[in-house]
Amino acid sequence: MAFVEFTNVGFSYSHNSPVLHSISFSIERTEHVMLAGTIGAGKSTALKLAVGLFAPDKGSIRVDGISPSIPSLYEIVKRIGVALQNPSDQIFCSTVREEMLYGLRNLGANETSDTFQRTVALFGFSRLLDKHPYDLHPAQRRLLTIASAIAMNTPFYIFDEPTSGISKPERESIVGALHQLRIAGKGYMLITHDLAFGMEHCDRILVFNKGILAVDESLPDFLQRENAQGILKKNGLQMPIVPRMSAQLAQNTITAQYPDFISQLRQQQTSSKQAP
Amino acid sequence: MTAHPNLLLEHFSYTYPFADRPAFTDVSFELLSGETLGIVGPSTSGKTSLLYAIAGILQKHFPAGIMSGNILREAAKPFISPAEIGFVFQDQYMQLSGATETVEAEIAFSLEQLGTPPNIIRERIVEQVSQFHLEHLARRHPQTLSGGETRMLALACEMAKHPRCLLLDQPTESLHPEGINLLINALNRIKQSAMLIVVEHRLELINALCDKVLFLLNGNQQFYGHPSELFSSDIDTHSLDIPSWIDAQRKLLGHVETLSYRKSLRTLQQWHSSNLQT
Repeated sequence: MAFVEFTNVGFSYSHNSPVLHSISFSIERTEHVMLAGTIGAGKSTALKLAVGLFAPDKGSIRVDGISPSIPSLYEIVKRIGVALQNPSDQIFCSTVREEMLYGLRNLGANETSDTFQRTVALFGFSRLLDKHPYDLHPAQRRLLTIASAIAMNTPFYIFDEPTSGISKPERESIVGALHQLRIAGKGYMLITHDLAFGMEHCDRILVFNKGILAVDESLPDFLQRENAQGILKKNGLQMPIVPRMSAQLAQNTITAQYPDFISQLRQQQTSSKQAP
Repeated sequence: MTAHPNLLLEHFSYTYPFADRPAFTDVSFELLSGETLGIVGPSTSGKTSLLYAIAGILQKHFPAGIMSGNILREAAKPFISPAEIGFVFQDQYMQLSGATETVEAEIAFSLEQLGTPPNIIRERIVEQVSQFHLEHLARRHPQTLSGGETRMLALACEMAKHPRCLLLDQPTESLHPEGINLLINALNRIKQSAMLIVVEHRLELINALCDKVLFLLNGNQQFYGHPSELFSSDIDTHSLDIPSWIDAQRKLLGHVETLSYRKSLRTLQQWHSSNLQT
């Protein structure tokens, strides 16, 4: 049974403008999925529906077999960790420590708990624990929301625009965290405009276009498609530079990953030199 | 005759009240109308604080902070009037007035505060709505917009003022590629008649837009000059998000000849074909 399952989900905030039209997809517990799309395509709305902050107008949503809603929220938060697009919508405790512990306390854990300690170490927050979240830099606030979600040790995570407005050091922290999640066998979904980042860290791509699911495919398959660039363009997106460059430099070496790309080029260079 | 810079900073430093270290120290640059400055650097380097100082926000709201060096706006005159400065904040939700019920009214809001005549307000709304492709959102309540849509609205509101000095703090945050293109086009349009200062992590954008770039690290000015010199210089740029094609060129060829993606691709293509022939 799929972990997150949307079946013909439709939703609108007001009567005249539906945000999602009949969206269906299912994600397994250990999958790593990116969700892309232009602004206003309904990506963040899908997140809010998945955790039960809103109820769908039509269709159904199941998370680990449970229908997300306000009454079932207690069960949902044990299954999906979430970082919202705007950190200020999420943070409300008066210290970094309290913010990270807030969810854990509800589950009976405290500061000595293993996952709290590990998450603090993972994000290098030990110096910041007594600070007020609003004294943090916006980029660190975003890290805090992601760290708070990971501290909950749920099997699945949804991060909305995790790389928005952050610089290289924070990006490296997030990459490290995603890597740890992968090793621990946890699944995640990244909602992102940063396709290069999404393609490096996910195995499957979903694209929303004006509330319709336009693409749902494994990333390697999608990138091998001849018109992958055209499909993204049709949906208002742009192929990141590395796959574009590798396609232009040497056909059939399409890869989303920059280190792979460099090593492939190096290999080609050495193998062609060795050839008689 | 050399033109007087419209904005001049000389050894400018600022420390927030009660802070244990300066937000930034010894920053110097000059900017003419029609020029664009990019400010880069990792988080907590003092980029936003520097924008606040240029806009006069620090001086007004934290007068107890310690300031040294010179900041001259419009050389002879002490200040460009606040009405002529546009500021796009990093948090797009902070930009909304909260006092209006439609996107159009939100664009009109700050113009109304400045006493702009109604017919001109009307023109500016039409101009900005078409510039940022907001037609389908014009009647929506600003609070119902998505993150990226709110960003576009924030940009439209500030550009509607036709500012002489526009400060943008990470304007591409939560925008999709098409939105970024709209932003670049819009900035290119007002560039001729205004000074632009952009804080941005995406060096691609800095490269496409800016005449000068300033690199701040922990409040210290590491570099000030033309964007192409930033990558060919010996400065340690590992804390910056270098565009991947520049990095590829550097890793494969050991040097960076150019900043343009097309030229870089051509260089790599030459490298590739010559290596396959040997």
